[in-house]
Amino acid sequence: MSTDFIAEPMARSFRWRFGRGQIEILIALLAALPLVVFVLYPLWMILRESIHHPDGRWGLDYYDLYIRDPHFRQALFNTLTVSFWATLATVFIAFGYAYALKRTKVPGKWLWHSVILLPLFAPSLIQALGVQFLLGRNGIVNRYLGTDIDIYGFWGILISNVLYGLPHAYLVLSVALSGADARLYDAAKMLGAGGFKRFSSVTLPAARYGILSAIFLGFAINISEFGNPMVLGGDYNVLATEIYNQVAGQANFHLGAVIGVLLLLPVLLSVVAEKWIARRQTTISAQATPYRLERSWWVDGPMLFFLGGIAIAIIAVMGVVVVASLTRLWPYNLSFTLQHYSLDVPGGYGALWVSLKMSLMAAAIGVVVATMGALIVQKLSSRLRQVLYLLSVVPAAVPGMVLGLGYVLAFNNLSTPVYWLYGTVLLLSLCTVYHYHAQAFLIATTGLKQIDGGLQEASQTLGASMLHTTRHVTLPLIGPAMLSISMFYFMHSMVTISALIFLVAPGTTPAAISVLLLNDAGNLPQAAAFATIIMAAIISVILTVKGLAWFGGRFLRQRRVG
Amino acid sequence: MTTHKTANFLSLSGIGKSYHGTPVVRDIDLTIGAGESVCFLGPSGCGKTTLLRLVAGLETPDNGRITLDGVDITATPPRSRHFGMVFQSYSLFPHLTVGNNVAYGLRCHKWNRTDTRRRVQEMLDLVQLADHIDKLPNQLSGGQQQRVAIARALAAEPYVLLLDEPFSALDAKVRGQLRADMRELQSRLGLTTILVTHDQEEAMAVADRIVVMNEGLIEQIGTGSEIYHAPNTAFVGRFVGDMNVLRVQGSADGRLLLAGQSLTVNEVVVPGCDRVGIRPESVQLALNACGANHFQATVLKTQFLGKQTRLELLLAEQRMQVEVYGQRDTSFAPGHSIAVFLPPNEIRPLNEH
Repeated sequence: MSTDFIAEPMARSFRWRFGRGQIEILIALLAALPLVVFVLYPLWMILRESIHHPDGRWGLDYYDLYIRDPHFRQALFNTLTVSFWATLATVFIAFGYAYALKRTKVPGKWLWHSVILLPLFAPSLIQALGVQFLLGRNGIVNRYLGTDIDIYGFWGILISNVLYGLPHAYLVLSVALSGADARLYDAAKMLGAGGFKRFSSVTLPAARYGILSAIFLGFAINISEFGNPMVLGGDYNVLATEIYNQVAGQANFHLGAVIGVLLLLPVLLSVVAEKWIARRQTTISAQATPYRLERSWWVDGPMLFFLGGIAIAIIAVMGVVVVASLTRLWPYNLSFTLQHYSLDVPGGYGALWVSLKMSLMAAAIGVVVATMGALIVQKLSSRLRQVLYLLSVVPAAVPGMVLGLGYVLAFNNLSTPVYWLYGTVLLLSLCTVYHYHAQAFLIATTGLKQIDGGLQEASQTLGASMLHTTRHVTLPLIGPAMLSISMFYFMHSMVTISALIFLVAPGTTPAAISVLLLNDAGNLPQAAAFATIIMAAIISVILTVKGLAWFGGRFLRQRRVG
Repeated sequence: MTTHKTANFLSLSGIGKSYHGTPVVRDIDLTIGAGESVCFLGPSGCGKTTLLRLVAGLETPDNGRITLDGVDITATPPRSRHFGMVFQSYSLFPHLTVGNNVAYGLRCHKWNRTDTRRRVQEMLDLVQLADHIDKLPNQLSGGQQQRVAIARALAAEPYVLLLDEPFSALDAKVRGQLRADMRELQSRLGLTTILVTHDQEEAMAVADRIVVMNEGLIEQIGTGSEIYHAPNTAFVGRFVGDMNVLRVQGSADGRLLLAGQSLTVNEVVVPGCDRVGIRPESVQLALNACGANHFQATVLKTQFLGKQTRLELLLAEQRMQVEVYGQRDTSFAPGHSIAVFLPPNEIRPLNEH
């Protein structure tokens, strides 16, 4: 045996150790650079716009102006009011829904679970459209029941926001309710606690962090929602629509920026609170005995009614859009037609191609950005890691409207070195990538955490370089997480409106925004048709990818030694 | 692999490592001969796993040197050391088949296709898993997975095989079998092996020499029989053989005193020795406290265990365990005073620690 092999790598490793600190900082800077350019810089531009006067002075005059105006004060008050009630209703309903699925023996759980997730597969506007078709001026209710409901305003926003927020709150709460320790329930029973007492003394405390988490998440979603208030708000102004009116309507960037900063604050607080609480959610102890569900029609019966009611509401609101898109003149002439699918509007089907192109690009860029980010953060030493981690999750606290306005201020500017990006589909993709960066980054981080650290060490001791380990061990193992990230980006890019509304130009209008524009123009049937097309496109792409992943997995496993 | 008859094939000198200012491994000196099987034994937190990881190159020592066959490898990264390692949690690649797991190291070392295939086949035959070549790790039992891990670690003919508590996740029966197989494999192939464990039986079963560690220091190095029968320190006595450790005083003329009485010891006593050890089963009950090495003790507790009775006694204000075999009446009430005899040939003088 010769030991010459050792001398050469040793010299190499010595050189590596010498420069290790600097290399680490360099890698951290490279990873942070895009986040600075595409998140921090636009945010700084908004802040700057809100305190910087055209004559070069700095001051809070625009804020003063804003606070004095009763119209703006009203919008602020409206935003908080409708968000408060919508959050309360969302969390209440989502809790009942999650409770029924996790803690009772109702039949058809798979079905109920799928139905509540449906809104995730559609443009957020679909709720607003559906509510109009059902309860609007020319809605089916007013038409056939002879009522005179005016849905535009507080109630319209409330209903559509609740439907939109349900799946998000439901996912958080069903995690919080899924682990139950039967020993606690037995102990409570032995101590003489009745059903209600057990619920309030065991179930609620165990889920309290999940509930708080859902409340803050719901509040953050509601307060920054743009599509629903835009369609159903009527005279009921909220901050998100107010930014749009100031910027798109009156080109008043200063006031738009002021509203953006005001919108940023409560969302930032909610997100920080939500993260802080989520960390406190205790994981169930390893000795816990799983909770055994017992059939009890006293509970399951009413629960079934409740699930049915909510599921019907979700399906009705979304389904009516599909049905309306296929009828000649909703709700007067219900005969079948495909005429609305001709999309004889400027852009037409082109918008769908823009959407697909943008979403595929966002999925491709996003999966690389999020995975690389998570990989780098995992490898960094503790202080650099914390900074980069924080930077990576900041976008969760930025409402889409605010980020979009920041992009206009940052990139529609001849002095910006990347000015050429402005007006391209690529910028729309990048905006979406960084808008949802926090969530994608967290999926990747969770995926990486599930890989036993021992595997990388095993690979090293077997003689693999860092690159070899990454390629043959780490990447294949986070493959499923990467697939989830690209699907996540694809779905969100297909349906997002808020971040892109300021960035679109005639040639680069994505389909989801076309729906909004069609609705604005009063062309509801075509808006409905386009929304249906988007849903169909999302579902078919997801099914295709899942199918390919399944076959790909089988193919890879068949590879043999040698 | 050519066999080496070097007595200091792998040597560690002055190795130290601390985390956040807390020393985990302190001033370790150790040489391991080629083909030797050495075991690091100690309670959890004694630094044995850290020492193994330092040898593997997964950690870098703060000070000291590691040499392999005379070459300094202290700063060599793990992948260039060419050591094989078996982990407690198996650490098989879950996405690769058994065959591809075993072939992994060979591919890293650029073995060609035919050699790789032959070697994988050979290794799986060695661990009797040839039928499972195309299975994924999660389709195997724990014992089978650990055998794959051993085959994977050995495939590329490593200079040294490192095993980190390799059998602790397995149930008792599989553990015993695998341990015996491992020992057989080690001596047949003449592998230089380091195994980490907290189980003294395991250490005795697989090692030529045992390194007993405590609080980052080596307490004693010796064969299983040496450390069991001739512990040097109170820690080794307690940890390896459940010895009673009694504090004694040295008299001016070099004799040892226990409870003011002279204590006769057969072994040579180093000056300054202040502790002796005696196993619970070596202590004998006596009729009275008259005679050499006879002492008066108070019963604290008796526990009938069938084959033997365990007594907890207080002798010269020190607690001590005694095991009595046979049919003697041992139903002493707590507080009862009895006499014990400490046979001089069973008493082991112990060092500091």
